[in-house]
Amino acid sequence: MAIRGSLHEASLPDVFQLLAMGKKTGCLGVTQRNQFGSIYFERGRIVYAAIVNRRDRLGDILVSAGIVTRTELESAIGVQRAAPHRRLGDILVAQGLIARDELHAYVRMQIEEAVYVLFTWSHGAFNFEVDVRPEEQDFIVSINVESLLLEGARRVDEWSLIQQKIASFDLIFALDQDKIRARGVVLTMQQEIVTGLIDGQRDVAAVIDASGLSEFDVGKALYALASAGLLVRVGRTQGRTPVVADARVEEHRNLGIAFYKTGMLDEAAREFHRVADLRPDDVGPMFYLGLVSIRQGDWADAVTTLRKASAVPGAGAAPAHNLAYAFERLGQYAEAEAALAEAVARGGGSDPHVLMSRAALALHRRDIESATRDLAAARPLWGRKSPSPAWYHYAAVVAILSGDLDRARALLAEGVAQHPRAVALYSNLAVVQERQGHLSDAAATWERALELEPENAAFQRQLDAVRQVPASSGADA
Amino acid sequence: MTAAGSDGGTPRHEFQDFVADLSRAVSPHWAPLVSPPAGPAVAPSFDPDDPRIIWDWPEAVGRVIEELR
Repeated sequence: MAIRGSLHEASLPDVFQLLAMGKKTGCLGVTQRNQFGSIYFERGRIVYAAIVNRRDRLGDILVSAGIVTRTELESAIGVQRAAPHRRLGDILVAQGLIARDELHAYVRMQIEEAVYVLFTWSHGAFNFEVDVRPEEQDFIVSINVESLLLEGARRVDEWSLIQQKIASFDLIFALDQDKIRARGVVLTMQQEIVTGLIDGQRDVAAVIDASGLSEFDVGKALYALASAGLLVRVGRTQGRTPVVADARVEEHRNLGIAFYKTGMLDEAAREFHRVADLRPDDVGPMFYLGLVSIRQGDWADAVTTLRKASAVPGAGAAPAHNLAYAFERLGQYAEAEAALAEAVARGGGSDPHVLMSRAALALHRRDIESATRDLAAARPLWGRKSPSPAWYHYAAVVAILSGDLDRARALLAEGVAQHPRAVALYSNLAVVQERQGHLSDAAATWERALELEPENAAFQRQLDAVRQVPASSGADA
Repeated sequence: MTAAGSDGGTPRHEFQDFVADLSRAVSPHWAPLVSPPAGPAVAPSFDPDDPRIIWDWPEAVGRVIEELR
């Protein structure tokens, strides 16, 4: 379930307060023109926030605060380049350059800065997608929304003033050195840093990047300098230095993926189409456009797009697997089997999704033995992580069809413990519990399902029905 | 069946209506498998036509691979 709206109708602080009061968990995506930011909530508290295509400033902040030197940072970035799965902060901690607690405080500061920047967006749209969580590699914090609102409101007020002088980040300024000398101006530390970078060449965005300061702090410094008449506007970068194609592709791709993850599917499709226009032979945009079609339930379109993606030379197992899934949803099982065989041939045999899909197709063929084998092989492939809700589902279905209701019940109970919001698991669990005569357990399970989907009339009727069964007739009487 | 129907809890015709409603509600999401695959391995101890059982995982999330690899 997504909640969408326009920032004209509801300000971001209002949306934050609603999510905090409702103790919501999920991702709030915010878009303004070609910018996109996301804020993740866990039970009403902010746990992560980021702005797509905004330079990760953690390293700059640490240098600026004197925690690490520029050389040490470059060295850590070199280590990360060789091991991209490692977080920069973890590398710095491992090298003994910063304590974990201290790192945590700076990460929190970076997240807060991202939120403050998002507060200044007023012309876009927002979209809240329930239960979407940050990536595993993201540093997680826990910030009370209320604590950000006051500072956020102050910055919004100040930012509207700053924008009167610094209308956009592509402006280029030079310093009026004569005035500075003549007046004997005393600058703050932040103004010193900023004036050291204003050279008539860098635009505001480049000054921000080079300074290690936040957008807000640089904006404040520039505002003060401009108000004192010390800045001279010499032009803007737009049109003078066109963004290189690779960077544009990367920006659109990042935006598309961020939109996709937060359920903003039309916006995601728009970005992937842009990437496809720039890179017509790239498998990536076609793959993601196929995913968008799948999420929209447009199976025929998904087949068309994923067929193209799968046919790109060098395409891996994922496009073929997802093509198989789209065929499956269309009821075209022979085509689904063929696409899945292709996914296996491309190395997908060690992917639990591929094995699970093979099990699902085996169930359609009435081949419970093969389904059992594939599901058993899929489980350890999740490693230390719990199998997906779908795995528990299919494993339980196999157990039901094999007449082993104890196993089905155990699997579904484990599944809902691991995935407490997987409604379909509750539904089957309740039916199995009823079937085995565990009526009070079944009633409790229907109640939980109803908590997740309060408007589901079918669940309510099931709950009413199981409550009407005489207590003496159940196994748990 | 213990939840409804002939157990005295809900009139039979209501239960049948409910089954029909539920089938209509789930079929767009769980098509084409609204009934389980029948075959020799299906044990007789569970009513395989129980319309309340969800046979196919209803969501794409969890079934599709979302990273290009």
